[in-house]
Amino acid sequence: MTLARTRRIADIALLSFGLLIIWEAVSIALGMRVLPAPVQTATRLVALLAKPGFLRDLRATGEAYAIALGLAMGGGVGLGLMFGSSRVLGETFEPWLHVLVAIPKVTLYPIILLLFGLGDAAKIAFGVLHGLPTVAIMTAGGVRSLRPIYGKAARAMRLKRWSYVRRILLPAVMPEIVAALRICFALALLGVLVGEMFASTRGLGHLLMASIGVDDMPTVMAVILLLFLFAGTGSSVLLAVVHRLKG
Amino acid sequence: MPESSQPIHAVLSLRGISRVFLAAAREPVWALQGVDLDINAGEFFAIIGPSGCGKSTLMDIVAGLLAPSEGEVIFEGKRVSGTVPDGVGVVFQEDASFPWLSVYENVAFGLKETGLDRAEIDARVRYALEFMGLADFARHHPPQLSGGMRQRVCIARTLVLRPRLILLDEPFAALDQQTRLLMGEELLRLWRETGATVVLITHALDEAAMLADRVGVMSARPGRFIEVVATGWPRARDSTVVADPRFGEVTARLWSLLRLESLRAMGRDFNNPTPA
Repeated sequence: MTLARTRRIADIALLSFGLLIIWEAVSIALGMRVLPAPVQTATRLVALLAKPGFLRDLRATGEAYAIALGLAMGGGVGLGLMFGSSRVLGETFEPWLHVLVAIPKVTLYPIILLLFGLGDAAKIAFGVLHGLPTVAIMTAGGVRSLRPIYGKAARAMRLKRWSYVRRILLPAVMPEIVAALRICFALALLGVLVGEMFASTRGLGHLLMASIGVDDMPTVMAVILLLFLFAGTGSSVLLAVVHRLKG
Repeated sequence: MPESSQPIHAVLSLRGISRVFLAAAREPVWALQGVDLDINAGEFFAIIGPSGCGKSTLMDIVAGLLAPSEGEVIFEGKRVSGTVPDGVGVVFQEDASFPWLSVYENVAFGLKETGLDRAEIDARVRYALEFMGLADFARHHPPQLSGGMRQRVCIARTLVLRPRLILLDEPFAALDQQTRLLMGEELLRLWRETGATVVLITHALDEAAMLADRVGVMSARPGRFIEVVATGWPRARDSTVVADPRFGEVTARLWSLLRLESLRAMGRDFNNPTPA
């Protein structure tokens, strides 16, 4: 293990320890009823993970999230490649994507509910709505910053259009796509959870709202901790991939 | 000269090539006007001209990457239009290697499009890597290589496709002088070995004089050929021809032609030079 690596691990350990101390301190200051302490929260999380009801919620969120992430990435990369390659398409549609990124998407949720009804489709759509515009914008930006010489080289080697997309365009834009995946990873999760919080009968978002309703703070904190660990790990792994790709 | 390559028949003909660039609210710019040229099979032809005379535009037109506004390009008896014809390989001034692929995969890139079987692709790639002195770097990626090495990768990538006409647009412009001389020798070796016709665009007089059978000198914009100078070198030659008295004569001739054009390109009136 290199020295730099050892130091990084030490840094992360130190940071986590510091956060736990602060959490514990705030918990003592506000009282356990308002903010359960780390040990209490972890104990509850372990207990929840053994309960079939919780696992059903976890599964519901996980499935909706995986579908939303897949659709947001697939759709976003597809649209981004199109908008980045064609000036007309880009100039026509990209401003709309920027508007979508800017507005609080929760204001659109009533429309989503009307379109998709209560249930999985609505929360998936909401997750896609959160992630897709950013992915499309970042991918289109990557295509536009492509060195024109790649296109010339492709023509000089008589590449067919699909070969060009598959063998030059996609790999050349891959660092941007992975960077977009990292952001979409967080945004789609936000969308799905918010969707579950407002109009759903299952999933972690629903569990959160239900627990707040019955003042079950240990469960609230346990769900938050689980999401924190999941999002933190995913984001770190993807960041490492981004760094690696950008060499 | 006993071995000098004499024209046998034209493999590439340019007939009245013009190219105009139109921009909104600006005067149209004629990059090329009335370019005529015949290049013989197996010939090494260099093109020099003042900066901005349309050399690279001409190159793109010859390669089929850009359509001429007037005139036509005939390669092997067929008119070039819209696409790069089969049998033509292009090496650009800019580094066109793909950083996400290894050197080996870069060189194999175009071959994978041809539908050749893997063994044949591997054999051609290994030969080209060996030929260009890249064999030890097959697993490296372009960002790990120097500019000269990356340009070799691009030449090897073109070479494996066995082009009958190789177009090079200032391929050594970004390299230092020593590397350029050595790359020039490699280019001569490649030309002799493949028997291909080579068209080299360069801004370096000495490079043109040293490497080519004939050198076409272009005028300031709009570009056209003002003279074609034959060097008379034997086919088996290398950079030591610079010691030949004839090298000085050729270079001097090229410079006398190019000097006036370069002054014109810089906007100076050579008949009434402005006092310093």
